[in-house]
Amino acid sequence: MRVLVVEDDRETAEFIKQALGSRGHVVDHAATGREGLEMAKSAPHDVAIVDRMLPGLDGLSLVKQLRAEQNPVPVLFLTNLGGIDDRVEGLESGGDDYLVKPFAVSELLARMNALARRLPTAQTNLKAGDLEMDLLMRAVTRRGQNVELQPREFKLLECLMRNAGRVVTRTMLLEAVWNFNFDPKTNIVETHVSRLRTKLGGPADQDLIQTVRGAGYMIRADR
Amino acid sequence: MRTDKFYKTTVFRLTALYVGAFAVALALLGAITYAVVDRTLVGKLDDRISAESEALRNSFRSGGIQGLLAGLRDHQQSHPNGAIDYAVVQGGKRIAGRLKTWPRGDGWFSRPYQEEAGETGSRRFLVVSLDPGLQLVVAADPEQVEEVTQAIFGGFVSAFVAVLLLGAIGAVALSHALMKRVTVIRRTAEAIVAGDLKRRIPRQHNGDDFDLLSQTLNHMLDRISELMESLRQVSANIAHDLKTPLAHLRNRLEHMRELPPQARTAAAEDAVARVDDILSTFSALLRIAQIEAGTRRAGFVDLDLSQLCESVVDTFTPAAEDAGQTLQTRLAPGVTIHGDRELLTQALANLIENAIRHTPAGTTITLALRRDDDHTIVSITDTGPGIPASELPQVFRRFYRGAKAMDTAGTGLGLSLVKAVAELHGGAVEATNTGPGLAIVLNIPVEGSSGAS
Repeated sequence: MRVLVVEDDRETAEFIKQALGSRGHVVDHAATGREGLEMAKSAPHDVAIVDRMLPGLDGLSLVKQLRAEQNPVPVLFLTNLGGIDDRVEGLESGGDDYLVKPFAVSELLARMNALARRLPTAQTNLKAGDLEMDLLMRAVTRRGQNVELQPREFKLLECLMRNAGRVVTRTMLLEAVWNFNFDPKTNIVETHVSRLRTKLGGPADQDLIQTVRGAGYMIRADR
Repeated sequence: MRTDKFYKTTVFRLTALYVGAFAVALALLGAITYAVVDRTLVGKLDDRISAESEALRNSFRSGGIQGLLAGLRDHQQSHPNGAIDYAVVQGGKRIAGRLKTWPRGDGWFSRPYQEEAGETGSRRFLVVSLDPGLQLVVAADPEQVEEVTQAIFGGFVSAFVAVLLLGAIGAVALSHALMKRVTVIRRTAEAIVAGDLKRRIPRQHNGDDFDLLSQTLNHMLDRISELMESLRQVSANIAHDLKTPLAHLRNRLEHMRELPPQARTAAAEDAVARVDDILSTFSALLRIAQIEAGTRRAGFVDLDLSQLCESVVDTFTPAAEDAGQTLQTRLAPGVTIHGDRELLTQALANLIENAIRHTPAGTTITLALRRDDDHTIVSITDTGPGIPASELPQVFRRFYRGAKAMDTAGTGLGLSLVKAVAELHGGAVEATNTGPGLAIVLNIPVEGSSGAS
């Protein structure tokens, strides 16, 4: 993947560059908003990681300008700890996701992958192995057998299937399924995933939903 | 920089302005009095002159020129001191009377007049033609009128000067007196600015406006001191509560050097997890601070609290079941609130988590929602062991963790956030023992949450 990183803090920028570089991604780094805008215009990127606070042209304005020029690059905003209003503003200005600093590399990668390989929203059918989901009928079948799910379990499974083959972190699930933008101390994601697994059935060793240690969950794309 | 110049004080300026206005009014009054008195006295003098002239003309009409001259003699004898003088002029020459000069032409005149003693005085003249070439001149000395008007003028001028002088003295004295009081307050303020936070304005206890102002200012200073003290306390608590986990982390990192290489990865992961815990404490603190700043009110919306409660309970039901607890609801349907969805969600989540984490298996946890006349009441009750009564008032304090909770994970900020959210919505939160069990009740006035937009 070719990733644009617009970040003025040198240490954070180095951290991201190293993390992405070691996984085979190509990183273009800009330290100011203006520079970032130029780089975004000069070459297509799979994802742009943009810090909200930048000297000169700030992150929000940068993305607004990109969107005004019909640049569709998926944008992941980086925000500072505790800024509870930042998320809404970021999404309103044309950002696609946000991540609070400091973050784990696994979280950054998972969100980046999810953004870069987003499915078109028009898609009404999701498939993962022997599991099928009809988004219009809100129905799930495994090996042709109907699986009864509660709305929240359905949403959880949908989120995993949309990202089939990629890791979805606990925080991503909390945001997407529960709309929780804080970190609950109880392991609610774990308990719900475990219930979902039971409902989907199948031998335990062939579990569709895998736990990726220290990162999150993943549903196998095909098998 | 000292600016104790008395003429710069407000009091001095106001007094000077007042005295100036008073002096102008006095001058105006003097001018009017002078004009009125002058006109009245001159009128009286003219009446006398008219009467004399009329009488002599009658003498002329009845006795001709001889009658006039005879009348003139009589009149002159009755005014020997020359208060009224006369002249009969024929062909431009005086043929009788004592007046040496007179104006030409008929009518009323006020003219300077050369007195006997050589001084220059003035006369009021009435010249009447009796026959062609024959004129009767009657004149009076307006000295008395002038004496009176001059006395009035002099009186007013003295009064004017006295007012200005006394006013100036008063202004200076007044400004000095008030400045002394102001200086006392200012000195105190300067001492406080310089760091002597315990200083207070000395009171006179006489109940005057300065005394009341001093009292109010002292109260304000006391309140600020209290707030600063509690702020200092909170900062100290925060520093202490963050220092402990950081110290532990440091020890572990140091210990890592001595570990065999294969154990280091696990140790590093453990260290990262500990850092994450510290960061989540920071995050919670910042969040509470932001909530307390009140800016979130701008984003309040009308939302269905019944539905929100239902949804949060659904989220935690599996966790409660796994812990062997029962999570149940008693929700009045369709209760709406004007508020912040995200923060209310987090507050409810914190309350439920708190109950799940601090009660044993077999406990029943109930989330209830009802609407009074003007209050929305959310309560969470459990049948657990409750907490000691002495700890009840403290559970909402930052970093407060009960004696029993010390061994469980947690930041000690969950209930502080609940309190901050309740207060953001204009409400309050209270913890009570229900024997056995704990009840936490959020009381949000309907007006407070809707009127805050």
